[in-house]
Formats: sequence, C-alpha cells, structure tokens
Amino acid sequence: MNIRSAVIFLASTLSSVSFACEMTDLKFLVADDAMHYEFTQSKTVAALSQPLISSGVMGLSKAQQLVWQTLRPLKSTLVISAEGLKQFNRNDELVNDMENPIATELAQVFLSLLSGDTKALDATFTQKLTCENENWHLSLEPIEDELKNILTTIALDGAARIEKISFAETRGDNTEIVLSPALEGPVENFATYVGN
Amino acid sequence: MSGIKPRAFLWCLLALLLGAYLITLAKNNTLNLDSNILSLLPATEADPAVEQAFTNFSEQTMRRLVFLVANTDKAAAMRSADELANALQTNRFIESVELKRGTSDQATTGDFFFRHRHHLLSKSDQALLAAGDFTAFSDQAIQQAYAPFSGGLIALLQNDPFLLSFRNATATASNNQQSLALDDGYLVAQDDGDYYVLVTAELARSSFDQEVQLETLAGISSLEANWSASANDSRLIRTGALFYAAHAYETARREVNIIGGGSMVLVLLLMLLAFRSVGPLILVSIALGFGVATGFVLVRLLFGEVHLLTLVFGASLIGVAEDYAFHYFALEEERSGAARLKHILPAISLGLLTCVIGYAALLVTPFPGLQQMAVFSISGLIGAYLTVVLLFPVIPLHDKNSPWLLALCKRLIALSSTKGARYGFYLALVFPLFALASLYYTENAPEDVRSFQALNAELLSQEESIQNLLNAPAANQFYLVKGASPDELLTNLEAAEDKLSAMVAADVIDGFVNIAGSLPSVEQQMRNYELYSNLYNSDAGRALIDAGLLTEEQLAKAKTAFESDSQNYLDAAEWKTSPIGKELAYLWLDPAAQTQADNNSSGYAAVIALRNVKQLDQMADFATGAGGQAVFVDKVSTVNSMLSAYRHNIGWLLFVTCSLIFVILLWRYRLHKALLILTVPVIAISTTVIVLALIGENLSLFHVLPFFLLVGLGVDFGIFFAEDGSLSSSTLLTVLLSALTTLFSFGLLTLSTTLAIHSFGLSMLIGLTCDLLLSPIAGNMLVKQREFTHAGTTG
Repeated sequence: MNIRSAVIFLASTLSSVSFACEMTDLKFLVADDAMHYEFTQSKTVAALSQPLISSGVMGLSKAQQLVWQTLRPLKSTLVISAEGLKQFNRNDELVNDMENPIATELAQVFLSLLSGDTKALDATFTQKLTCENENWHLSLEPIEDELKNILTTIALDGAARIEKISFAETRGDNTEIVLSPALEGPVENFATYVGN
Repeated sequence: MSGIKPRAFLWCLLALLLGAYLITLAKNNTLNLDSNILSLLPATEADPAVEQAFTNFSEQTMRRLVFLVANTDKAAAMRSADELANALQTNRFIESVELKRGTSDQATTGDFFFRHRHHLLSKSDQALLAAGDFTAFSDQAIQQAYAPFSGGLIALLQNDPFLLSFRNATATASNNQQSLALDDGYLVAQDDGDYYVLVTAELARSSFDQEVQLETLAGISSLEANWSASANDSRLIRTGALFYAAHAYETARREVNIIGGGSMVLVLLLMLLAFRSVGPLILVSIALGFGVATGFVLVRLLFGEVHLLTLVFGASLIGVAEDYAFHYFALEEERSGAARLKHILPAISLGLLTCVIGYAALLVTPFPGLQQMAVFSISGLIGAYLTVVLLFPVIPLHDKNSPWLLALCKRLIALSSTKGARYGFYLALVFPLFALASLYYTENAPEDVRSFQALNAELLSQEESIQNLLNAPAANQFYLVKGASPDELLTNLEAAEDKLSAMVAADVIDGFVNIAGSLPSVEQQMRNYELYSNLYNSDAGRALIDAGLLTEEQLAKAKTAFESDSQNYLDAAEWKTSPIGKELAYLWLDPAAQTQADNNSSGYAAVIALRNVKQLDQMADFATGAGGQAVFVDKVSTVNSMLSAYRHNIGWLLFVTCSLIFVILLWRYRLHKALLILTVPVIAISTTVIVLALIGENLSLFHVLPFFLLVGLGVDFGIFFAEDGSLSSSTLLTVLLSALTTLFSFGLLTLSTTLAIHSFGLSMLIGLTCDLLLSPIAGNMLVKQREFTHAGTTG
C-alpha cells in the first residue's frame, strides 16, 4: 500500500467518524473492470432442511453492469444492466427464455444497491441508516404492495465497502450474501459478459 | 279525362304502402343501415366454409377494441389506463375489459401448466429432449433454485422436479406477447421515451350499431377531455372496427346532407327561377321524395339492409330523377295535365329506359355494394317517373316559363347553330381516337378496395402505431385450416407449423400465432409424454438429489405421479377456459357458428394469424399432410384482383351497352339520327378519359363505371331534342335544367372523402359538362336532319 492510498484511507475513516451517518458517505462497490469480489450465499428455504450454499465471484463494470457468476455448485452467470437481465448456463450459452418481470425488477434493485445508487430506490423503498463507528447498516423496506408480497426487508452491512447483503422474503425464506475482495484477477471472461 | 283519377289513386296507394313500411321499419329500429365495408364486397372464396369462417373471424375481431395509453411517465400511463378500464367497464355495451393480469390470473395459469406439464412441450425443450440433453433440465432447475426469491420454485421442484410447468408457462408467455412486458400486472411497451399500457375490450354488440358507437365514443372523449384538463399528458391511441365504423357513419351522414341537401336546394331554386310558381316546387319535391322512398324500400327488401354508401351515392339521384318533372312543367303551352303527359310520355319513357340501362351496368358487377347503388337509383328513377305519370296529370298547374330564361335559351340555340359550333362538334369526333390512345399508353393503376372506405389519416396512423408497437397479427390476412374433428384440426395445425417456421426464416412473414402451440393434438401429447419419460428415466433427477434440492422419496413420488399421468390429455374445452386459451380463443372457429349446409364435411376450423406479411407473392395455400389444407385468406388482395379483372372487361360491357341502346334508338329513329344521338355521349366519355389522364388521375374501376351512366344520360338529352319537332327554347330549357341539376348532384359527389364515390363523381362531372356543351349543337343538327328527311310530310 503506497502513501497516497493510505492517506485516502485515513481521510475516509476520519470523515465517517466526524460526519456521523450520511447516505452519501457510504462506500459500495467500486466500478472497475479489473476489480472483483468473492461471495458466499447462504439460503434458508422452508421447503428444505439444509440451507443452500453457493459461491462465486462478482464485479461491477465501469459501464455499471453487474456480473454475478456462481461457480459452486454449478457454474452460471448473471449479467445485470440498466437494459435488463442476461443469464448464461454452465457452457456460457445465453439462456433467454426464463424471463420473469419480477426478477427483472429485483435485478435492477440489486444493481442500484451494489452500485450505490440509493436515489433510484427512493420511490420503491423506505430506507433507514444506522451507524456505529465506521460500520453502517442500511435497511430497506418496500413501499408498494407488489414488492411487499414477496419481500420484507433488504439489509446491507458495510464499513469501507459492502460486506453483507441479506434478503428477508415474505414467505419466510432468508438469503445472506457475504462479500470479500478477491485475491486474484478479475472474473474469468469478464469482458465477454460485459460486452454482450 | 278518364283514367286519370284511378291512376292518381293507384299512386296514393303506393305512397301509403311505402310510407307505412318505412314507418314500421323506423319504429322497430330495423331500417338496417349498414356501415360495414365488408358487406359491400363479394364472396372471394370458392369454398363456402372458408368464406363463412372468414365472416365469423372478422365478426369476432371487429368486436375488439385495442387501446394504448401513452405517457412519458410510466406511473401516469398506468393510472390513466386504470381510468380508461373503469370508464369502459361502466359502458353497458362492453362485455369485457382486459387491463391487469392479477395474481389470481397468474395462479390460474400456474395451475393450468402444472396440470398438463407432462403433455405440453415447447419447441426448444423438444429439441433438447430429442438430443438427449437432460442435464439442461437439471442445470436450469439448480440455477433457478439458487437465484433470489426461488422459494416458490423450490417448493414446486418436489412435485415437478424439472420445472416443466414453469418452462412451458414462460415459453408460452414469451411466444405470445412479443413486444410487451408484464410490469406490475400491466402489459407495457416502451418506445422512444414513451410508455404504452395496453387495454383491450370486447364489445357485447356489433361495432356497426350506432348506439354502441355513440356511447363508447362519448365515454372515451370525456375521459380524454379530463386528461387534458388535469394536465395529465396521457394520450390515447386506439384501433378497432368500431372507430372506423363510427367515422364512416359520421362521414356518410354529412355527405348525404351535403349532396342530397345541395342538390335539393339547387333543384328547387331552378324550379322557382324557371317556372315562377310554387306548384311545380311542391310537385317535384313529391316526385323526388317518392323516388327516394322507393329506392330505399327496394334495396331494404332485396338486400335486407341499406348500406350508408348506397345513400351517399343515392343522394345524387335527386339530380337525375327531377328530369321527368322538368319536362312536364316546361310544356307551358299545354293547359291540361293529360295533354302534357301525352306529349312527353314517349321521351321520358325512352329516357328512363336508357338511364336504367346505364345503371344496370352497376347491377351486373359482382359487388353487392354497387348492386345496391344500382337498385337504389333504378327504383328511385322509376318512382319519380311513376309520380309524373300517375299523379301529376290530376293536379292543375298555372306555371309560366320565365321569359328571360327562354330568351337566354333562344340565344344559346342561335349560338349552337353557328358554323363554328358545328365545326367544333366535328372536331370533337376525333376525341375517341385520342381517348383510345391514352388508354392504350397509360398504365392501369392497381385497384384498391379500400377506396370504399372514408379516408381518415388519423385513425390509420393510430392503427399503424398500434400494429408496430404490439406487432399484432393482421386481421385480414391469415391461414385457415379445417378438420372433421377437433383433433384432426389440431393435427393439421401442427403439420402446418414447419412450413410456417420456414416462411418466418425466409422473411416472408414476421411470425404467426397458431393454436397448436398451446393446444397440441392427442398424438402430439402422446409423443411429448414419451419424450418426458426419457427425462424421468435419465440421471437428471440424481443431479437434483445431489444438489440437495430433492430427496430420494420425493423423486420417486414425482416418477409415480408421472406414470399415472399418461392419459391426462389437454382437450379443446379445457384449453378454452385457460388464460392462454381465452387469449387465443378468437382463432378457434366453433362449428356452431358455421353454416348448417356445411356440417357434413369438415366441421372444425381455426385461423393461423400472421404477423406482418412481407412477401405477398410468396403466400399460397399449402397442404398440411393427411389431406389437410392451409388456405391463405386475403380478402383485400382477392377483392382487388377481382376489381382489376372486372375493369378489364368493362370495355366490352360498354360496347354491349351502347349497342343495346343503339338498337333501341334504331327502333324509333333513322340510322343518321340514332348515330347522332349516340355520338354525344361517346364524345363525352372520350373527353372524360382524356381529361382524367391530363389531370393525372389514375383510372380506376370507379372512374370507368360512370361511363355507362354517361351513355344513358347523354342519349336521354338527345332523345328530348329528337322527340321535339323543332328546336324550341322550352325543350332546350328543360335539357339545360336537367343537365345542370344532374351535373351539380354528381359534382357534389366529388366532395366525398370516400375515394370510390369521389372518382365516380369526378368522371360524371367531366362527362356531363361535355354533354351539356354538345347536346344543343347535336340538337340543332337533329332538327335539321328531321327537316331534311321529313320535309315533305311536316312542312
């Protein structure tokens, strides 16, 4: 870590201490084609006795496209952009006929969350932010019935960046996604997904 | 005089009958005014079952209203769509309104696809199964399970391990609403910054019912007024037969008023000017009223309805039917009515005959619309003629021809007997040659049946935007497939699928909607079940257990359920009650709706709707295997080619008509005279052809049909001169007055926004002007002829 980034890091820590808890100060994901994160998703479903665990990598391109690639137990890739949702199967073939308008809307919510565009969510969610030292907790509750029917809360936890996302579904299922910076290079074939 | 009074009594009896019949019709609301353009057109299909199917299909589609509510703001567009749906729901003539796909609809759809998951199979999944790619099914199930909000699907997995119901539901949905996305329950299209929300409605009664039109249009426009008043920028784009019909009705009403009213005012004004007495005014009104009533009643009796365009065209009758009355009044020197009648009877009878022959040319066309117009005009003329012959003689008259008009006519006679006028006439004899040359060298314009339609650019552009946004199938171009039983029909529909897909691939059409896509035949359902049994017997189920999504017991249970499900076929009756079936039900033509005569042969029929036919010349009937046939139905093109074919024969028909009239003339006059009488309309027609070519009009059937009438009327004028011993100012006055009113009435037809009627009026206008100029000259020559040939006897 060079001096310059150390200064920036210090400054950001100091500012979050001194300026209490402002939405504009939250750090989400960095939009960088070269940067990516590892995630582990744990899903508790009423119909199953065991939680479903999956893991993979994700990255946010400069053009605000989110590539979400599950690697275990089965490779599949999801690309979310303002234009919509694209899904690739394990052979990287486009699977298009699984379109679902609610999934599309939620994907947009997800993209806004991870890119830090909380403004876009103002119309659909009431947002509540609490802080403790450098840690912040943002909870979102849907306003419209359409979303309320399936979703109770979305919670985000983070400090210098997002660390955890949880979804509490109305039917009682829970999904928890834990993010950590990846140690190695970008998502494999990141450019091909983004370019599509 | 004896015989006058009983004849007048007969007329009164007829008038009473007509009046009583019309009042009864009006009282029972059975005047049956029709504005459906299709009823003007002939049957186009050789197979009556296909023709019937077309009628049923178009009746169903004509009850549909399609709206797009547009706004730059999506939420505002949805709110406005709600308001529209509410407004439509309160309309008593609207059977159903479709706006939101609610959660209950989604549940019904889910149930339906779950119940038949083992017998329905999408094209793409069929290919996967045929290739043995079973992993694709388990992979997709696992992927879906790990995606957010998959709880519902995971629960489904236990009964439907490969998510077959989900796969079929999504495949069907994406197949049918290509350009619309489901958003918050609304079907929304997005284009160029605007959001469009779809609202559709089904009328409970015919689009051609005036009451339905008025109430629906009033509701919509008050809603639009609200929007613009409340600074809500929502716009409404609409299409449906109702809007065209309402426009046609409004246009026809206005045009009947202009043409009929205008002609009437002119006739009455000329009457006052020429005869300076109120008596003729009243009598001519009676004659015209009786004529129009006769025309209406006869059309209603013969056709069961009266088309609005018949009335528009029929309004020009006023300018023709007054002729007989004019001749009657112009004979001021005869004091007794019976004497007047005796004097004019040969001329007006012959005149009636030639006019009837002229109109009869419309009668022999294969178009019900033109036949109606002909019947209306012919019977109207006869009605007016009968009034003059039966009623007029009993009414005492004290009319006096206007002296200054008579003086004017004298000067005209002098003018027309000059050498210059005669040379002009001789010169005009070469016009037919020019006309023939022009006909030979100009290319024929393609006929277009839409010229029957009152033009409305606004409605057309709205329909076009809806077509573009929805990529909706065309209502008048489609394939029709038949079958003796529902299942045979479905087999035939399935067999058509490959050919249709090839047409899409070859860019002949953009797409198609086939019932067979969501309702397979029993044989196909058996094949689908066979393919699925391979899937159930593969390792794909094991992959799901390994992924922790399914237990051994659950998989075993699902297999048992599959095995006991083999006979659970989806049939047409159940399909029709399903959400997808309701959406496509308009393509299924019930045998009950078909003709009784046809129930021994193929009783079931279905339409395969086509999206955007791009290469019309590539469209043809094709065999669907097993004796089935997909018949391409395209009413517009077929009628257009019928119109063209008919126009090609019109020259011969015109020749026959002229010959017929010539024979009639020869029966009464000598050869020279008969030739001279016929020459005037021939020159008039030639001039019309030349002028139309010069002003750049594309010569269509509707320009040519008036030629028959020009022959009839032109000969008519000649006859009046020929019958009159000398060229008197009073005969010229009559001919002038008749020609002027006729000219004016047909001239008013050119104001019509219905192209067919406009074209007809234009030809008449040119031709009659020519008639009007030539007939005094010809009249002069006719009289001279008479002096030559009968000098000894009359002098």
